[in-house]
Amino acid sequence: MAMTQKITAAQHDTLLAELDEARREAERYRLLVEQSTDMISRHTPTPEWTYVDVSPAVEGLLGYKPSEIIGTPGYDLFHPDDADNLVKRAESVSYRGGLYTNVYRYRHRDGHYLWLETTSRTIRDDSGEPVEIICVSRDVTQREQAQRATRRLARVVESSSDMIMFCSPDTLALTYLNEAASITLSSGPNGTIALNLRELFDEHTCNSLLHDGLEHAALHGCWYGSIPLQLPPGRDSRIAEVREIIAHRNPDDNRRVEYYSIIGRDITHKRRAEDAARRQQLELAHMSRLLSVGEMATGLAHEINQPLAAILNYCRGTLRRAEDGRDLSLAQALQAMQLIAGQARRAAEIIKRIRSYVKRTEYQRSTFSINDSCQDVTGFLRQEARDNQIEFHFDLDPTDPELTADRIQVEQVLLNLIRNAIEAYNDCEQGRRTVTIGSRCVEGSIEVAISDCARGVSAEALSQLFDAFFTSKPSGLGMGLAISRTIIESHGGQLWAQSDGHSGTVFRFRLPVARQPDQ
Amino acid sequence: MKTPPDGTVFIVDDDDDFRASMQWLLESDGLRVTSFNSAQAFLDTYDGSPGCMLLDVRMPDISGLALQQMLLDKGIALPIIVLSGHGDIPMAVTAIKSGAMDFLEKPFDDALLLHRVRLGLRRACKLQQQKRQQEQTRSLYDSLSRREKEVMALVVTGRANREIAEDLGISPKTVEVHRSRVMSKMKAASLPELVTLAATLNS
Repeated sequence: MAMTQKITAAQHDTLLAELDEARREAERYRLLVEQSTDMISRHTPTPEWTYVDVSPAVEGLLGYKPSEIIGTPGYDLFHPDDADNLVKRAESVSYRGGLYTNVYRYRHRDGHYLWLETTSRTIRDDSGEPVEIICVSRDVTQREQAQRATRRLARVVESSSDMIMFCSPDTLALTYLNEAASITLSSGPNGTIALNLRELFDEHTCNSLLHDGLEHAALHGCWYGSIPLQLPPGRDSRIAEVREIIAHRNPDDNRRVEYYSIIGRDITHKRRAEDAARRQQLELAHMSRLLSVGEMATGLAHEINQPLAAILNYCRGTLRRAEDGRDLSLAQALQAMQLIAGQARRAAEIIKRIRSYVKRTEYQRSTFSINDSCQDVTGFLRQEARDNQIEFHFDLDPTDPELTADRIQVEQVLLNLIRNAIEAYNDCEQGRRTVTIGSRCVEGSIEVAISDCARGVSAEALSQLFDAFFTSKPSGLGMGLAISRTIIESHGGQLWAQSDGHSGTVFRFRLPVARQPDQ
Repeated sequence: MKTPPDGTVFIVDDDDDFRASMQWLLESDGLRVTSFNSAQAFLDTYDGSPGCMLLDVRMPDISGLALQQMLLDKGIALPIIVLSGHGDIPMAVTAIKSGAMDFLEKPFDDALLLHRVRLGLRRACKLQQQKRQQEQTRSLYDSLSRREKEVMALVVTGRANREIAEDLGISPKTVEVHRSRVMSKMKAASLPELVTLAATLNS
């Protein structure tokens, strides 16, 4: 309308200048558009999303020259999974002030996909009908991949079988628990979850182990160890422990701890399996003791018979003296009584020994003299040795070393090895039948050796000796050595045999003197 | 009170307590007891005096059964009662076969034991008498001349004087003289008596 009116020369000049200015401005925008690494494109507002125009950046981004892509449907290049993001209002789409921002995969001319972030605006005419869509797109592949890696990492943390908790440094409030931690910590009867790290430990542990662990981590970055958690007892009470504390420190803020990662492990299953294995081992050891007492029954019966027969003799001898009206002095009667009491004690002692040996016991650690044990066990085998004309020789460590272990089990091993040594002479014509029992201290361990001078064990048999059900005896079950080895190994020791194959065999076991921490 | 029988009870057992209690019991019955803690100790000190032995089968070094065998080999005739802590049938059989008088299991009835012991001592007495008789017969026999011994050997086989004379190449008259000397030297009243004495010599 202004163009039809007459204008003055000055006005004309001004208009020309404005036009010039507008041209320069447009040129600047054009340059801006053309030089921008962001791709600016215009599309038809149709489902095909056909390219109407595109800035040269398209070549760097998608590999097409503008002339190649203009007129082609842009929809076809979407990754199939992302094509309908806008329609579906996918998570990757956001809307603000008439602008949509969408992150999606888009196909490069080569065929590979890149991640684009596109901001788009729909241009409408006066009646509100869409005319075209203007888009600004940039390559966010790197950023997207980094974010995806972070998301994956978070998933790893979340689904790790380790318990992972984040905790603030000053209040010790728990800010995050992964799934494993939630499950373990909510195993109590009412299913409540602790909100503070302190609630997971008893007070003493809190003030000692936990405090030290956190302090160490704050100073050195991390701490490794084992702190038992105290979880509420319940139907499904769990056993767990903290194994690692990582302090995340801010390098810009005087290395102040921003938060702690607490990593723990639910060891309920492991502990239960260990308990079951231990119970089974105890059971097996007990069975084997019962069996060996059964095998020794004849000798033991004889041992008990001796004092009983003696008691009977003293009683009848005394009664006879009294009945015959012969002079039985009070002193004589008293002496007989005393002898009877002594014999009764002897019988009781034997029975006590058998009972304590076959008793079903829990695993009991105590500190005892290995030399005493060697002596006691040979006392147990006195009759068997007599029957087989065996002589025991002792070669015991003069320092009388002490051992911390389950005494009954260690004596069970001794008994087993000594009985084997006695039986080694069974099919052997030999005048001197000695079984030597030796003990000595070696570098923090006690080594016990049981040796015989019978015919030895062949190399082949030696390799099978500790297998279950391997036996050279007609009546043996073949469990003795297998169980003995299990017992010694469960005490952190070793049991082995040596033989030259013709002049004897030595069984040795070695046990650590110092108490081993329970696994 | 019973009169103590002749002879000694020899206890051989390595269990000191048991041995002492046996002694206490046996002495209550008025028996004379000597005890030994091993077979070797018995062998070392036994002087041949009469008695009955209470023997433990299970002992170190020389077992009861081995001692029994050694006594047989040495010709020491002692009635033996074998004692065992528990009924061990094969051992009992071996002991009895080797001439043991009895086999008792500990602990045993004292009346039974004492009865057996007395029986054993009586048998020991008899053995002792036999032995003495044998020794006596032996010394009588040793007093015979060579010819008299020859004649006696043939007489006890039941041969007539005439046959003996033929065998020895001497006259029947001479045989008659030897024969009456043998009878008087051996203190035999009759031929059957001489035969019995000859049997004693050979046992």
